[in-house]
Amino acid sequence: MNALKNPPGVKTTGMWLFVLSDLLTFATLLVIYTALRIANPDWPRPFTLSPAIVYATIMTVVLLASSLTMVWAVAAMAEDDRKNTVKWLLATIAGGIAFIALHLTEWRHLVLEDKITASTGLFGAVFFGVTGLHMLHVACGAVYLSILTAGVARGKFSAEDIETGGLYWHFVDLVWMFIFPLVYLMAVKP
Amino acid sequence: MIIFSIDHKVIGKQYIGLALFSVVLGTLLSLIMRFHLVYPDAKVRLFQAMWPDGAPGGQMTPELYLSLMTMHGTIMVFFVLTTAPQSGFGNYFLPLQIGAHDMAFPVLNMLSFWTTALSLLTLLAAFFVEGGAPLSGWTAYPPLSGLGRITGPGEGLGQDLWILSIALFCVASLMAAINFIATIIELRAPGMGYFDMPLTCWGWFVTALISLFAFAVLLAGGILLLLDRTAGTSFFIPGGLIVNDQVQSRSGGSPILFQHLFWFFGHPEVYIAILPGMGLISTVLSVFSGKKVFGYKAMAIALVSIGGLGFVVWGHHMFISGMSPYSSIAFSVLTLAVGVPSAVKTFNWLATLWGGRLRFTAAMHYALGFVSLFITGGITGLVLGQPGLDVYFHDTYFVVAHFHLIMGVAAIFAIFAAFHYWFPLMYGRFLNERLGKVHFFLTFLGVYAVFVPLHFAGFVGNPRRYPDFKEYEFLKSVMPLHIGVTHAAYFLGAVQLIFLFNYFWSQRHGAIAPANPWNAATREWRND
Amino acid sequence: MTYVKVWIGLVALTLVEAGLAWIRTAPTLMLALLLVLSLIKAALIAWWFMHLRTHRPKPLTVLIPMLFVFVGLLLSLLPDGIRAGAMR
Ligand code: HEM
Ligand SMILES: [Cu+2]
Repeated sequence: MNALKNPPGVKTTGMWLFVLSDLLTFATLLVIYTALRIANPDWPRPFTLSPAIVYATIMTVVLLASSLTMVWAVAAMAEDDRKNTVKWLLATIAGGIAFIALHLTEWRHLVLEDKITASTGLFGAVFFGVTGLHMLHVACGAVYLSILTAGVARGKFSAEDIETGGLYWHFVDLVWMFIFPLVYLMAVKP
Repeated sequence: MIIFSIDHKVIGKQYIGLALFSVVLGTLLSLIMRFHLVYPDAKVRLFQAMWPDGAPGGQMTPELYLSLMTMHGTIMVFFVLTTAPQSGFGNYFLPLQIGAHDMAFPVLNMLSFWTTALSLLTLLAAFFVEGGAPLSGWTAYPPLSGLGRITGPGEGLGQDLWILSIALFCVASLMAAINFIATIIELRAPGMGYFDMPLTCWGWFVTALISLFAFAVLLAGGILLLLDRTAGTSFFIPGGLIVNDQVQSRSGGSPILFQHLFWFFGHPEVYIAILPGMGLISTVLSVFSGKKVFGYKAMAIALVSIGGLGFVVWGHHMFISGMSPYSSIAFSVLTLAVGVPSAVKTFNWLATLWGGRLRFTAAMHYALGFVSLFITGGITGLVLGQPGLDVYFHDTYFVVAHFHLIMGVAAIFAIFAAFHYWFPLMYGRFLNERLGKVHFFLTFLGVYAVFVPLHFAGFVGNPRRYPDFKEYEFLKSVMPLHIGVTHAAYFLGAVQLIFLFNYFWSQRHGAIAPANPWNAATREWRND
Repeated sequence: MTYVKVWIGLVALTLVEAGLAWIRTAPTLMLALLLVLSLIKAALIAWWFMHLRTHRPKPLTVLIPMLFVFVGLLLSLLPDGIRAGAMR
């Protein structure tokens, strides 16, 4: 069917294109957030330093840590060390799942204790809209990496495939680097 | 497996098939609309049979009219003009023209086609759900589209499905864009530089780049609108809104923000529809003039600058939206600047013809028709680009005439040209030339007969998206004109049967085509 | 080991950001500082983790600046935020 092979580098190019496009989607959400916040000077700022911000900081560090393990997975695969690749990929997935679990706990707290939901006002709308879309990306990433892990364990996939998966994972991390300050830190109780 | 094929040629044909199906449906809807505009009180059994709620006793309700209009616009813009020129012909011929073995990501290619198909099904499902299809046009402005059932029958599940469909379409188009860009960047034949590519490839390239960013923004807008409808948020819902005598409880958002997001996508979208056509027309004109394209490099650069400028003019759709007036001035100046690269293209097309040995094949006819339509429609764009004039013309039939000529029909002429030009490669046979020419002349006539008079309706201030004109005294004078337009539209619709017949008949019975029948120089005709 | 150093840098910047909130920096100044810090963090991730340093697919030199242009363009809708506020 497709006897001829792509030259190396095509997959990473494709993933970079996706990353740029998706970055613009997130940027659009954040711009709308900014415009709405300008329009509403009485924007609520409900987060306490402790536990809310401490908690969010921990989530950030967890996500960053999963990026570090991802880098190691890519490096291991570049040396064709499949055993360590699998190990680091699993660690990355665990980081992602931990992030989601922490995040959901936080959501639960907001909904049950602080009585903030998506429909209780624009703060909730932005918060759940933006973080929800991001969480969806993390979840997709966890599935994506699981597929890669299973494949690597069975001798499938090349170093470029892992590199491509890594690009996606770091991108999800990169987006959070904007969500954390703009959505959390800018909404700390005055 | 032929259905889930990952061969770019098959996928290209699948896209073309999807576009053909959509264009037939969209045309039928438009004919029903034109009928209703001149016979608003007619009771038609067929309407009642098809839409029992929308046409009680066969009498079409205003809401049904609006829902037909919405579906017509959405189907045509997204599923015809965005699919056929780019993903249809582009998929088929881009790899051949740059000497690639296939698209860069064949599986992604297959997925993007099937996501598009799913998106179309989702859209069509809106016809069959409770309340019917949505009313808010292809632009889906909130608050109309953001509040749910209370704003009209189609604004319940119908509008949800519409948004879902468009979101799916965004995803599919992003996948396609990634594929096109990666293919062009990475898989050009050894030694082929960017400026060695045929202009068709430049058209597809710039279109893909535009799609990559424009659909990303529309996706964000769609997600927010969907949240407004389903999660009770109010990103686009202002406070104190009264709908059907009920005060709405939501507040804080702004509908202008959606307009910004929509047109940030929407203006580039019109170039997504036309740029592949521009590329193709350059090739066809040069082949049938027996000359190289005049000013190849200028043409490529003009494509790029049209694509770039296309991102900084979106505000010209919002002059009366209450947008900041300072933005209006900037958007106006930038809009008029688009005239420059557009003129470069037009004059280079004319210069390509100049002194050539012209061969008036059917494809050449359509290409010349394209140039004519592009000029006629482009001139009115310059009129609309000036806020002082647009305040009057906005949302009148003048705008309808402008965009149908330049986007609708011009792009479709490019598609006709593409069929006639590439049919020998796709099916090994010619489309019947004589039928093609007859079809061209009748269509050309019909198009101008339909859309030129609509400019005059716009002069009188005839608003668009109104289901019934006879309620307004000042529109009495344009009713004869509308009757003429409707009959021209019937004629135009009927004439398209010639093409459909030609298309299906020639696949089996057309004259057998030799290897390079047009003496073209591009790679797809070479047999190596 | 470079990766670990980069990672420590990222965590440190995160703590600095959280610290800004802790000492209740004035909102405008804080927004400006946060944006700068976030851009630095994003750049670190892209440069080291996403290997832009060593492997830069050809289109990116054009497309990354383009992304910034688009975001800048989108910011042109902010004046309408101010006006929407007046119409509330
Ligand atoms: C020199 C070139 C052009 C200029 C200056 C121009 C200007 C404009 C302006 C100012 C409007 C807004 C009118 C209003 O709503 O009041 C408009 C509408 C429109 N234009 Fe153009 N245009 C140009 C070329 C094109 C091209 C090439 C296409 C498509 C291929 C196109 C498609 C459209 C469409 C679809 C609309 C209406 C959208 C809607 O409201 O539903 N235009 N144009
Ligand atoms: Cu426009």
